[in-house]
Amino acid sequence: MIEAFRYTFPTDMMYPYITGLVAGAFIVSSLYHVFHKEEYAPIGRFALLTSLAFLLCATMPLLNHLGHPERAMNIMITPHFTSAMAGFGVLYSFYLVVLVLEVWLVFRPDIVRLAQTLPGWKSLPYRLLALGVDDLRPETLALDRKVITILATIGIPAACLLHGYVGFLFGAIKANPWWSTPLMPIIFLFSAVVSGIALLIVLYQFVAKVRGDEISQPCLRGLARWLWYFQIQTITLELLEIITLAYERNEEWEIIAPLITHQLAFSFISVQMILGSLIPFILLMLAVLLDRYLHAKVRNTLTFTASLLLLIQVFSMRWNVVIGGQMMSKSLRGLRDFHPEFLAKEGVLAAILLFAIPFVLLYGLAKLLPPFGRAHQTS
Amino acid sequence: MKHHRHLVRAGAALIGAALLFFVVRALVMPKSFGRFGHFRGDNIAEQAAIPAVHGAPEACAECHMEVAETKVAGKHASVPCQDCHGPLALHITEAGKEQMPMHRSFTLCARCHQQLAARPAAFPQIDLMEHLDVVGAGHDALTTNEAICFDCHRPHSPSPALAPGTKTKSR
Ligand code: HEC
Ligand code: HEC
Ligand code: HEC
Repeated sequence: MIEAFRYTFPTDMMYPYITGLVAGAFIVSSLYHVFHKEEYAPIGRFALLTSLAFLLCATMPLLNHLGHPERAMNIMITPHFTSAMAGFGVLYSFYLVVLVLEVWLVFRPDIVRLAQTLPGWKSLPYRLLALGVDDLRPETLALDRKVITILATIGIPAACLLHGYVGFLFGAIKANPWWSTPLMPIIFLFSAVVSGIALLIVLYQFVAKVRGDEISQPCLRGLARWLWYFQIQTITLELLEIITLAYERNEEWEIIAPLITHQLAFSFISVQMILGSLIPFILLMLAVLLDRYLHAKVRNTLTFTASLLLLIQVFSMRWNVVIGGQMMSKSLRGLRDFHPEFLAKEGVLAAILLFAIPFVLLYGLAKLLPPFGRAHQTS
Repeated sequence: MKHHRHLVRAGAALIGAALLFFVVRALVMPKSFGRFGHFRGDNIAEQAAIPAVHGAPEACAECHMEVAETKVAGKHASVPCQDCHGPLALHITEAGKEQMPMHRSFTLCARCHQQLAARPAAFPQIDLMEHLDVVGAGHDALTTNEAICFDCHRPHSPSPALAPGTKTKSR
């Protein structure tokens, strides 16, 4: 039979999704490490590890997409500064250094303690990480705290740039009217924060359940507020973009209108706008406005459900942008359809596996550097 | 005693990593990089050394005048021979004349005529199965006879279509 025509790649769209989670998780950790909001102490360290785990995996979908993944290093070795992708490489490396340093300093007291208490070879990684210094005097820790604040402060714009940049990579494709808008970096950034907070709410509740810990209600209350705030911003921006396009009625509307009402009807209208935006908006509104009357269990359930839905929302937004942009003819002649394959190199299974890696990594990191427990006294 | 010993060591590790990066960079970067611009200079010579495999569009007519005339008079006038046949270098080699690979399959025609929204509306496009049903060959033909299109269409002058079986020469 005739082979279907294939141009689109599902794993590709995992890349903006994962980078978004990096930026979002980092912003949450900054609430604690920069703004010293005590209620976020329970997840301040966990958020950092989450950001690191996802950052380490952010480029994997892209590498899977390349025919010659080893050549990706060429843009680092011989960067050309007019290349948007090379710029991303530089930004990514810079952010990675800042993040690794911050994680190291935040966990240093534990690293030193574990290096001293663990027996034999088990202490080896910690002795290496301690760099041969076991100085935990109060003045030293006070200095560490200062440096952490500075690093986290540099980290916020770096994380924002990192993800705004992903939006920029799309927004700067002027041949594609579905992508080419200066709003794109901002939309990506806000939805990144939404996905990051949502992921942390889900993971935090999950981990607390598994560990048998109590879920800190002040922490959850605060996160729910931020989540609601950022989701409102995100949806507003996403709608503004469509409304502007629809109202201007430039020639590209001819193709974008059928794109979102036919090709993307399910993933855009049903999933991104109704299931992923309207419903969590109502759930979070209940959680925030009726906060005083809520039982802890109800708050947990409300925020958990809303967060899961918002994770789906952001996922479908990335899908609609990345896949949608490839479904329309650039000369505005028409649309094609897209059927993801399951087993292909960039099929659904590959995407699921790629998305599982950061969680496995996070588990490993959390085993190496336990983020819960002594959290409050160390940083 | 000082309080920033560990910070100094971390800084040293970072500088070490940066130095390592530049050492590795110097080792792996191709010698000819940057000779003419932001690319590997040797690449120009490598590209130039790749033998040309396609002949000029008129080259085929030197021997196949008849086919060329048929084609020019028909609907495929604008389609170059080597779009459907292999490149000239496969056919005329140093050793002499070789058999030109022949693409006797509906997938050849589908490459250009399969219905696709992105094609200009005026370009003749068909849904292969539907077309075969309409013209009476039946869409099962796609699985039973790969060369089904040539039953009615002469590739060098595809229109008008002939009744199946009346076609004598492929041209
Ligand atoms: C639209 C695609 C197409 C183009 C363009 C085309 N051919 Fe062909 N040609 C075919 C196919 C398919 C066959 C085999 C037909 C068959 O077996 O019924 C063929 C067969 C031939 C044959 C062997 C059969 C015969 O008719 O003697 C020659 C020679 C040939 N082509 C030469 C040419 C030359 C020269 C040109 C350019 C002037 C050309 N072709 C352009 C598709 C094409
Ligand atoms: C490389 C692209 C290409 C391939 C391959 C090709 N065609 Fe064509 N075909 C064309 C072009 C270009 C035209 C002229 C369209 C026009 O007049 O606007 C055309 C015209 C035609 C027409 C005339 C349509 C009309 O306007 O009445 C028929 C029939 C046709 N092709 C059949 C075939 C068949 C059968 C094959 C397979 C052997 C084939 N084509 C392979 C490019 C191709
Ligand atoms: C049973 C005979 C028959 C077969 C088999 C057949 N066609 Fe046709 N085809 C026709 C007739 C009749 C027409 C009408 C106009 C004409 O004569 O060009 C036509 C028209 C076309 C046209 C022009 C459509 C238009 O919109 O102008 C294309 C393209 C075409 N055929 C391609 C194919 C391809 C590709 C195959 C193989 C899958 C194929 N045909 C098989 C009989 C046939």
